[in-house]
Amino acid sequence: MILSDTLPYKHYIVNKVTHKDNELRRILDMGIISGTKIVKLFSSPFGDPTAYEIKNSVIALRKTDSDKIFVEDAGDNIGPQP
Amino acid sequence: MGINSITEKTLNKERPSDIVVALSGNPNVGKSTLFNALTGLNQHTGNWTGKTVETARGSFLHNGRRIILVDLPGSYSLLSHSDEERVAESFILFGGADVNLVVCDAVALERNLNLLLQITEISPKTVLCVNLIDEAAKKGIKIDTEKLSRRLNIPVIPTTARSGEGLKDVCDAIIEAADSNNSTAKVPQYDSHTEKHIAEITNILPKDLQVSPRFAAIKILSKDTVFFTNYQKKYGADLSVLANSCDTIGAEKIVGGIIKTAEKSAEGCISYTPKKRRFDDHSADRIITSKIFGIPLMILLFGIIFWITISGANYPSNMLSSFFGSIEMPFYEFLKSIGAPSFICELLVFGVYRVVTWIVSVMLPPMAIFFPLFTLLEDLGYLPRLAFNLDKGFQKCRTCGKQALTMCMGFGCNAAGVVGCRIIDSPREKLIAILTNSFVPCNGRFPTIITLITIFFVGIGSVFSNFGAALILCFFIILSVLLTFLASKILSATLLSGVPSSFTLELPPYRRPQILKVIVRSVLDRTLFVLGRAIIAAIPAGFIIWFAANINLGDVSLLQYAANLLDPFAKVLGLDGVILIAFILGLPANEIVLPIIIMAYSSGSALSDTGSLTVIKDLLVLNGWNILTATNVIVFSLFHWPCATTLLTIKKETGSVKWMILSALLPTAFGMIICAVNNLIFSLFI
Repeated sequence: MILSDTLPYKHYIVNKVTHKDNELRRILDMGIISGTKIVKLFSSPFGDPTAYEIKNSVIALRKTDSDKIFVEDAGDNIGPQP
Repeated sequence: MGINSITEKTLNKERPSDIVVALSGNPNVGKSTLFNALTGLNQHTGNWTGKTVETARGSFLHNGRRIILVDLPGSYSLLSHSDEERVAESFILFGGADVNLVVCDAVALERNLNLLLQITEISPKTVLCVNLIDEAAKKGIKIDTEKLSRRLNIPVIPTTARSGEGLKDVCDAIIEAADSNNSTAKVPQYDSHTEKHIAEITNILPKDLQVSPRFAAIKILSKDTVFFTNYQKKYGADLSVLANSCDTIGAEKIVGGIIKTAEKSAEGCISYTPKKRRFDDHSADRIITSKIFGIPLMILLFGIIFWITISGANYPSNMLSSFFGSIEMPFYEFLKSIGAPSFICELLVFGVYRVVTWIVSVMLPPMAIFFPLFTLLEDLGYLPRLAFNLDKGFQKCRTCGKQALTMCMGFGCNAAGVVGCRIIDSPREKLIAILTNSFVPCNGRFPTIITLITIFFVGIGSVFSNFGAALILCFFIILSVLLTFLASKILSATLLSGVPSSFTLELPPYRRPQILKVIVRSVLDRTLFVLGRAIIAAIPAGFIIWFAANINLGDVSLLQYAANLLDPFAKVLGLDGVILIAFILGLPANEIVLPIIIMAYSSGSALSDTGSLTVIKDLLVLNGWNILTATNVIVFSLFHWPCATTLLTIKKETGSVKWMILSALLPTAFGMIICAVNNLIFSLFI
């Protein structure tokens, strides 16, 4: 599933980032890379962008970008970790 | 902006024992706090806290050694290639630093190590400073810095820069690193395919290579043309030939290698004991960014800041202006007594002195209140939330959400806002942000706008005047933000069409601002800096205006003659010739527009107290001003050509006169259209 469709406050694992070139680098720089845990937090007053928690920091992404990030459900058995 | 602009400004070592340290780190890790704590006040001004847009420099002594600290713009990586990351990379590569000091956030250490590993790849003489140890401790995160130091093979120092903890150790480590010779710091390990290519390329690299071979190999494999150009400029050799004959390695493999290495390095060095439910951290953000409260809270916050600024500035403004007024005649008499001709006395007193003292008394108090308040907001971490809240608007304009941040910087100073646009990656979006930056009023324009609102909209000295003035000011600010959107949208649809690039924005945790430090720093760095520039512009302007007002061409003064010439056109805009002349003469600094208007109107007549609002009001009304004139002057003040400093900055940042001219034409067109429409509506209905 894509990151945009995830439920808030549930853990997911990044599967694939499908951005290209410099945009890809920028997304990867923020720590969004396959295998990383990601949690949707809250959205802006107009519904977009949305803030996600990744590797202990909060990163806002536009829907156009989170559409290009594929994740899989990590199940709820993953407890809070840094 | 090439590497020359950076290397030229490199501080020269006075003695060979001096140590030049390049300070880098992700944004929001307290890098500037560390810089300020280490250098004290011994640094160059113009560093806008939280956003180092230029490389700020400062120096200090430690154990008898002089350490020169160069604060580089905050960057997540050296690979993503926004302009400010280029500044950081170029300095680390070519700036001649002896030691790299990398500041990391203890809370998000693993991600922060990405940047560190990119730097150790360039130079092993690196010291890692794990900052915000206190914040991490609160979250139950503990860092084993000794273990990490062994892993990375560089000194790792835990610090809390705010309270000064660990700073001495950092200085010791810097000196130690500068003096040590052998160091093989940990560098990123890539996948075997990439490593094979790196090995092949390092074999064929020129013998006299001036950078680390491994780093050069990565640059060649990723076909980084900017690096080739800069390298050739600095050392003469062209590395791009090598790039043409080898495969290209994709970004994912390189960044992937760095991230994997960071993960492995951090593994086992970070321990975590959950202290509470972690999502509670975001309850403030859920309100601040909520559908219902997000936008109203934002307007309320700015309303309060404006209200405090207006109310707080009133009294000191009056005091300053009556003080300057009271010594005006003694100053005049003094000049006479030392034998200056009366022509010179009048020029100096009624020309230069009046304009300068006006600017000090009208500008200084609101700036001295607004800047610290704004810096507090910045320090608190509110500005990224503002960008988050407003991003949808910028998305609709197909521009970058970080434009909200550069817009906010524009409230302080448009020139700083324009330089700040370097944080935007995409050249197209950056240009739009630069061209529309002057749509928001800078601190030089606020006092004019506030004065006119007070005189014509809310009444002088009424009970609700400050409150009302803040409300009306808010309205005009909202208008300027809306027109920023509109202008961005127009540019996006025409000259600068394209699709928006990806957008990532970190929302750092809220931090309690260091109130006292904020006040000192914002007064020193910003208020005095901006005020100083205004005064420098005002002195020659005072001369010119006085001459123009006192040299007669036929039976009218030169100023009046020019004003008459522009009058018919100005009348279409609901202004008059004098106002338009004042805006033209105000090109060096917007602060002097209102003083010019007053001086032009009052030329010939002796004006007793230009500081008193009632006197100004009478003078303006006498010259045909009404609420329409005031509205249009405010509108034109919001939307006209940027000041000379901003224009020159735009030329420098865009590298083109064409964009500079457009940046002047665009807001002017908006201003003129709105003024003309206002005038038309007013004459039709009222």
